[in-house]
Amino acid sequence: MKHEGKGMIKKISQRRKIVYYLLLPSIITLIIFTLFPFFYNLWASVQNYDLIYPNQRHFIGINNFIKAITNEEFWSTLKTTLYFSGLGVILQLLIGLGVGLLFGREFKGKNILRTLLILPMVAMPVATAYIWRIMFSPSLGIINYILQKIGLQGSEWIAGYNSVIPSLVVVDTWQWSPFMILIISSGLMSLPKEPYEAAKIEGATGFQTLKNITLPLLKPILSIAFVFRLIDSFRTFDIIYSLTGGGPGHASETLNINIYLNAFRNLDIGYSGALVIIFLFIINIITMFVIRRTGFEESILK
Amino acid sequence: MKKSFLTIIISLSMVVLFTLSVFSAEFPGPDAANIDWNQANGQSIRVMACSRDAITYLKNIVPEFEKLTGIKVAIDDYPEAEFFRKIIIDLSSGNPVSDVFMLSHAYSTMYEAGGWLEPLEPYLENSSLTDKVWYDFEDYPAGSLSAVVINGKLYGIPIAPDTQIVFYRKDLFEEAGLLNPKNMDELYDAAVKLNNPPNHAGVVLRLARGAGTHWPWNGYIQNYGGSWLNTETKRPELDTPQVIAGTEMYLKLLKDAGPAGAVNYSWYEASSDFAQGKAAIFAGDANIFMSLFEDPSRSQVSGKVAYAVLPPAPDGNHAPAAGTAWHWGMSSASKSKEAGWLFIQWATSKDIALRLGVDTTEIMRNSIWQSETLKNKYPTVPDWIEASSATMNQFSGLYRFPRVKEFGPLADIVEALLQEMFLGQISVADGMAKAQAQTLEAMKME
Repeated sequence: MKHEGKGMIKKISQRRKIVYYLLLPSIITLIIFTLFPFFYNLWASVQNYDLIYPNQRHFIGINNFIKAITNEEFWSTLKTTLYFSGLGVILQLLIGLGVGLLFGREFKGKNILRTLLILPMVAMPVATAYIWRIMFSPSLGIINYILQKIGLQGSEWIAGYNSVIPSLVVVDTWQWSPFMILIISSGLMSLPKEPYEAAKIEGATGFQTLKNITLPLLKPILSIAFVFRLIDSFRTFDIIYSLTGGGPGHASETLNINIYLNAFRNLDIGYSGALVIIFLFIINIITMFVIRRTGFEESILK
Repeated sequence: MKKSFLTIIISLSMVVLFTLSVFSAEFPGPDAANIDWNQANGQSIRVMACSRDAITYLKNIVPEFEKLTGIKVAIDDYPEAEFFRKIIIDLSSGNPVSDVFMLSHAYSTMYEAGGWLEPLEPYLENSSLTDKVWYDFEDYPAGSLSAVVINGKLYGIPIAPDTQIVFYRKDLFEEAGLLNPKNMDELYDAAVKLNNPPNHAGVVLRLARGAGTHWPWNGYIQNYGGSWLNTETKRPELDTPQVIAGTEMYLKLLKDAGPAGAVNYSWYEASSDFAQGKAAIFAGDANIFMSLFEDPSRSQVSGKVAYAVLPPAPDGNHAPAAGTAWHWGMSSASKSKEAGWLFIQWATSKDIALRLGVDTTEIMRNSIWQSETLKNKYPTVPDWIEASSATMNQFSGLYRFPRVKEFGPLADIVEALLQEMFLGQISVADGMAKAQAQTLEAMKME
């Protein structure tokens, strides 16, 4: 009996070893590609680390963070980021919900339409950004051409100070609404049938069903989609950089673009490192807030 | 009958002789150099370059070099923005993979300050590595080296030009009874008069952010006697009346005669518009666009373009707009420096430079500008040869480009503000005052 127990322990510990070995590759990958860059960045953010003055690197504590929050540029880029992401994600959520509900019904050509809808999402962002850039061109672009043909006045699109962010939101929405549509329509498919049958028997109208059954049941799904998309939208780089490079002036310089310019144009690794930490902090706070408010956590725990 | 047969033979042989003399090498090839090309046999070097025609051409002929020397060469080239990002990361890593790389005149000071550049004079003076007579280093316009001679040391060999000239549509000028502008005000008047939307704009110029807009703009402020930084003290002088006047002209041209959406024009949009006949004047950009404009398969304006030096400001000729250059530089941490130098020497030697120059119009050496081969290849554009070589030889100490290590941030400050001034977010005077303040801050000056 005693002997057997020992053997069992040995077996378990052996099995455990195997588990560890199997985990090793992913742990190593995680260390190299996630943990190391993170801690390196943390280290850089408290240094005066400027590649233009490579010999002057030294510890400066939280000075980079102070520089960031006292910098007018930081607040204006943050505002631009919130404007871009807020407008974009809400628009995408509405489109996602509308088209998602449409996909909840059966109709002819549904599968083909769904495949076509995914296309913008899988297309390469930089390549599509260049096509949008040509389409947006006020003189040569097709968008203004069509607008003028139907008697409307064209816009300056990405060449205008006030129209640049809405134009970028158009591209972002074109590209990422399918993501919302997919999540929401698959969420709809997973909803239980019983409440709907009950509602039908009770004689509820379509709107009542939507408001009192579909939306409450869909809430956790919507909040997942919202949070995912929001984080992603905060980090949007390719579309903005290829279309405007942050311009005209600083009108489309989001925090992410600003970090990039500080790191790779101004070569100030320390300051941009601090901005990255602040960025991370902001995303975490917003995510937590959204999750709390939408009751996403409880619905998962239930 | 016999006589006419003889005439045919003679005339035919004369044609053959003439053709041979045109296409045979004007300059002796590498075989004529009195050095041992095989001394680094078996080594290999990596070259990092910014994509442009000269590099495409070199990539095609580099097997000749590999055969000649037994050195393996790997050339990686990237579009400009990506190249600048990659090379700085590579060099600053302390253990770069590049042995030889393209060195922009704008960044040489910064790289030198980092200790990343190898002085090239010792290689040039070493008679076992360089045949000085054959190589003829003195052939380069003296000013073309001004960016790469730092504290008396030579750090680069010119490879490709950035020479700012103006492109006019001859036919439109003639139609309107206009003459080639003699100064900036005349250029402005012509641009406004020829502005005819939606058929074509009066003028195109760069204005996009991050697209090297600072470069043509610098030619303008210089024409008005302004200077980005003081050449002696390196202190920014962006709020002077001269800089403001030059900037005002640059923006006024685009506002009153530019295309719609001018704010996002990089050299790509500007040159495409001009090639498609959508602009009457391309008011200051790289001379190498000639090969695009004169290529009937890519351009609708071939044969209709006049080339000229950027006209001076109305109150006289200040330090004129001038050419700048790309150079070959060598990494100070390279382990195959001799092989790297042999490559640089071969790639910039007269024979290769002539072949490359005639094919791509990327020309640095004076002897190539004067060569018969070039004139015979481009018989229709003598004004292009004249304007380009004149501009290149205006290289001088007067050329006021900020050769400081903070150049990248400085360029972005100016480009972002140019857009804001253009869109009327801020007046030119206030904008340049802001640029001055931001530049001082970026350079950590009071």
